[in-house]
Amino acid sequence: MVMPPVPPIPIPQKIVIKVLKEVAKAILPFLFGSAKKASEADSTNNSSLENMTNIMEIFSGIKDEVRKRSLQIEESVEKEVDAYLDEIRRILEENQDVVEKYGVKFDRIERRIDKIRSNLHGIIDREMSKAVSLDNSECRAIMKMIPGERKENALRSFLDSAVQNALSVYCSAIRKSLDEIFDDTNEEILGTIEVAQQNIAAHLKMLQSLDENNRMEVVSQMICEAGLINDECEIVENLLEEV
Amino acid sequence: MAHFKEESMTQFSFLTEAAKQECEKKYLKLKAIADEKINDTDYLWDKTVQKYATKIERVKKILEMDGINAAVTQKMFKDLGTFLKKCREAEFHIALVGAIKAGKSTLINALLGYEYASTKVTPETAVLTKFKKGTENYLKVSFYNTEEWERLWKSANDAKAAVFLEEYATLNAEKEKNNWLGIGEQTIKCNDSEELVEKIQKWTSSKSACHYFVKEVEVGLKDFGLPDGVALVDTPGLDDVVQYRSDVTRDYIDRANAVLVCVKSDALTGQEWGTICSVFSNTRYNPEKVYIIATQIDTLNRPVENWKDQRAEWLKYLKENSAFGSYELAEKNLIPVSAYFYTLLKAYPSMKNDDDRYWDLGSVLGKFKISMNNVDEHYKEMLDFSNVDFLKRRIQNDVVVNYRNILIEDIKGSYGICRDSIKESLARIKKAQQEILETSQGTIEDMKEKEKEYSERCAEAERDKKNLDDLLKKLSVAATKRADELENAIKNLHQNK
Repeated sequence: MVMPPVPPIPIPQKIVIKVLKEVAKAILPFLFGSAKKASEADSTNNSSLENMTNIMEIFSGIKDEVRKRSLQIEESVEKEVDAYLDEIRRILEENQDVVEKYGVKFDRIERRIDKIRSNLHGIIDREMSKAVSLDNSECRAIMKMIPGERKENALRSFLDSAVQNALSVYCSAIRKSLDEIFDDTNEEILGTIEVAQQNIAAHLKMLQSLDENNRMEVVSQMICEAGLINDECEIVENLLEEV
Repeated sequence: MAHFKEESMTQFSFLTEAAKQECEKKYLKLKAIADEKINDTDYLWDKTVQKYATKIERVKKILEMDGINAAVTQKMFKDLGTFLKKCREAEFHIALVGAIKAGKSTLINALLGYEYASTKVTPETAVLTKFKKGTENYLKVSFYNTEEWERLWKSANDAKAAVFLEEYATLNAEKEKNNWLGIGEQTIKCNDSEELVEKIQKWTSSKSACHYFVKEVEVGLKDFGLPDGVALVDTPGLDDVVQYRSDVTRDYIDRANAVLVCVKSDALTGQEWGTICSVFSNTRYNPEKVYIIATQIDTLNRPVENWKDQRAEWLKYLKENSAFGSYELAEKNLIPVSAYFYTLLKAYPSMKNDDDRYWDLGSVLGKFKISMNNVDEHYKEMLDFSNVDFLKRRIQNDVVVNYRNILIEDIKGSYGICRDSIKESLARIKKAQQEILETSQGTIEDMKEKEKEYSERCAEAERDKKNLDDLLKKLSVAATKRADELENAIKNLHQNK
């Protein structure tokens, strides 16, 4: 069978990167504004409940903004992951005969991809939440500084790095997810064909060894092995049917 | 028995009696394996799960047998393994977090029914300690590997964690380092509770040299005061000077099914509020899993009245977006307790008059205008006031029942997927065997003909595999390229700022 040539892969070009740039452009001025507000707050160890509440409100505002913005990034990444999924689906549809021949199941692949994709939700938000919190030693140390320009600059730089770090963590997670998607797809599709091929090869070997002299022996072995496998299948089927 | 039945034999007959006997022997072996008893002790927590898991265990054992195992994909074995792991891991984790002197250890002891956690004045717990039900009393200690230790050490130096570094030097811990780093998990069996306490101290106390290298301690308790399946986790806290260690707590809070935050029940301080908000920061999408435990209510001057006022004040803050985000949820998950009072009341029936605790109990009861002479009369009322049993019931209802149901539903769904997947594979395998059996009944010429066909199919499978492999590789390369572009774009964002 001659396979069709591979058409170019229609991945939505640069959507994620475009969104990423837009989000960064919008979010950094907001963060720097928040840094100014937060730097004016007194948050030493003996800080009053009111001061602490004020800081928490500023932190909360930062997290809410990051959450809102990160949803945009996540949506675009989701679109891109969907495009890869569509592409795998297209490959399988175009090779329908192969898929049917070996019994490759796309729904299993799809289910797995859904799970991997859902793991990508909330990463940026979670990373930022962890950073913009008084249990982060760097954030805590900055917040303990005396209010003023030095504190504001330290906070700006910290928030900038925190965004950068959150996006890097997210990017690593995307890379890991893509690897998992491809590993799983390979395992499902190629693994199924491979097992079928190994079984055909084993039977072929048996048939190749067949001649008039050993016919009885080889045929008996074939019946025995196939019969036993059938029995194994039936026992498993019965087990699964049991209520 | 399928194909070795008499009627099957007429369809696919053996050519010799010896071959038939050999097959029957193999079949009996198969039956014996299929009927073997499955060790189901890991699945006893739920009858439905036990049924599904033992079924899949049995199926897996048969699929692993010679012959059929070659027709089953590695992916299927992996999926079955994943399913069984899910059935085994029915643990519901409750993390305890608290500011210094918030009464976290006293609460742990009240919940467990024994003084396992040290209540000394200096903060003691420096290692994540997991308490759970065991068939015997034991301690399982796991250690950092060299790489993890290097990260921790760097984290301590970066933070200029003076106390940590000084104590490390004073305790001469460096000398101990090579004894523990990278060694495998150690299980220590303990004969009684006293021995357990001694060992827990040795491995978790900030005053012992070896604790620096301990990553986690699991304590198995024969007498466990909480429902089966619950793991109560004492965390070193979010404000650990060594960021690496507070990160461990943070990750745990993120994964735990419930988080109990211990805060002393008098006026809320800015620092305590900071700790509370930090916990919510780490449970962003699940504020309902956080419980604010107002501890030591018995220490308030007038416990009932004072707590009523404090509660109203606390709720003003707890309803905010940086905490529960709702007044109703804040009201529901703010639980006052008096763990020490509870422990005293529990010990009261066997207390002697010269026992220090007898006087402690008298002092608390005095606040309720109850004398030691009529404790019995007010015993139940006071036990209810301590609220520890109420907290235990909430753990049972909110955490165990709730998450248990979620887990069972998930397992039911996964079982359905596994079952369908196995059935599809079996249908394919049976079809292939049918073909072989039919071939076996033909003449030698028919078989040689089949040999040619198989040879072609084998080559075809190789081609199909290669072609699909090429297509998938191309897609994978494209995806990797996109990930690279994304990474560069993130780096550039920083540089172009």
